[in-house]
Amino acid sequence: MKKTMVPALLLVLLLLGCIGLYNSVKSAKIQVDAQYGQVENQIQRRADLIPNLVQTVKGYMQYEEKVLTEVTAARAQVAGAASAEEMAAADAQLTGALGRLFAVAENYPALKSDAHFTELMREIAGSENRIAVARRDYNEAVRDYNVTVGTFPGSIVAGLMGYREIPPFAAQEKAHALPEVAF
Amino acid sequence: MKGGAVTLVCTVIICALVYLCWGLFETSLPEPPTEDIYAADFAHMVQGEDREKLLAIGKDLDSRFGAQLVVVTIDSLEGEEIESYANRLFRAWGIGSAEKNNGVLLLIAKEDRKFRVEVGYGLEGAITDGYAGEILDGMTPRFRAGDYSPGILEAYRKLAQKIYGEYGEVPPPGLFPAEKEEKAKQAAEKATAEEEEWTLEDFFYGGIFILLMFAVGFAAVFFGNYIVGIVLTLLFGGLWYSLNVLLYLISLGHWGTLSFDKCFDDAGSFFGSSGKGSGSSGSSGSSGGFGGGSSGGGGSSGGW
Repeated sequence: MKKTMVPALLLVLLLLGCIGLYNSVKSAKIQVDAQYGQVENQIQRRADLIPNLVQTVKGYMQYEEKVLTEVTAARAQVAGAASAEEMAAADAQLTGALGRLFAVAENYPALKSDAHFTELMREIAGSENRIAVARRDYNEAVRDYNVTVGTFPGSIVAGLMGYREIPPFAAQEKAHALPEVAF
Repeated sequence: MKGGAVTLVCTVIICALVYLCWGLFETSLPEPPTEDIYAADFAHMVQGEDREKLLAIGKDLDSRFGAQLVVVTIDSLEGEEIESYANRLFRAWGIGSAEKNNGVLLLIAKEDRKFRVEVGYGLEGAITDGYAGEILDGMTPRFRAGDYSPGILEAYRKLAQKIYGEYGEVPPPGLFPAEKEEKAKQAAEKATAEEEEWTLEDFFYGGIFILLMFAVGFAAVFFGNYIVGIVLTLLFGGLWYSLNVLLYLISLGHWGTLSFDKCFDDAGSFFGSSGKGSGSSGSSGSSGGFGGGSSGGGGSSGGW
């Protein structure tokens, strides 16, 4: 009797351990997915401000057609992004285009003192910070997930579930900085 | 026999490392105040009478709506961006209630000459980024003239008014009696007591399981069966890991906010509201008299 009891007990314990591991891997993955949703939301939110911005700016700078089309094109790319990589690339492009637009706007004092433009600038800056926060949260969730999936003993369960490590959301931090305004 | 020993040693080392590294990722933030939490004036920028007025408004907002409007002044950001510092501070302290996320942080870094309004999720509609920027613009001339204290009070009042508006109430004309002070203090003491307990228990359980793993591994090696050794260490590693996840959840505040007397007060909300315990981010929690609110980076920054 003793001989059968020990393996049976071991098996039960092993099973319990596996369930715990499975749950921790699964919940890490759910966290990652939820945080990714946040990143997408915030990127979308900024993109939604663009038509309004272009409309406002148009009245002031007629000769900067190129910068404006660039911004509009980048916005369209965000809307059409299908994967995480495309989203990251489109977002980086929009950031770059906006940076150029704001740089050009420095030459139009009337535009800079426009109340609506100021408001939009603030909304966009706020949106950019939200994107940064969401991206940091996402990367943190990815890091937790990768630790769970990549280290023993979670790695065994993750391997069985077919879960791999996820790369963090890459975007050039520098591209996010708005041009400095000198006083 | 060798295999078991090697597995054992590796598991113990990895687990111990992961365990020790837990919670060491963040750099230093000031400790949350336990008294007068609405004005954490580390850089001494708010003078006596303004401070009293400010605290009275803060207490009223907190007791009526659970909304926490907090001014924090610091000397220096020590090279960090004000946006990320504000967000970290907001979440670490847990400004605003955990259910409504209705906190607002006015952070001022004196030496960097920078300030920021950071708005919790729940008040983003009332205090838009544009309006936050306007408030900061209003502070700029006063700050340039060195009139920090009145500038801060004025900004505080404007922000408070928006919060009253959000909840459909008119700001009270006068100051308020001190009975609410006691409530805030009680809540503060309760929360700090809870936090300290958990850190101790974390170490307690961690230590027990490391010892257990050692014991099991040695026993297996002693009996000379390395397959059993591997299985057992693996098993205990798994158990230890799951327990750690559990403790992690608890120390995060997911369960800390689970108050059992609620079960008897209103049966309807049994475990219903406990899940939302700590805002939305992995690093949030509550401490001091703060409610555990979180922010997604809304608001505006500026300088003077």
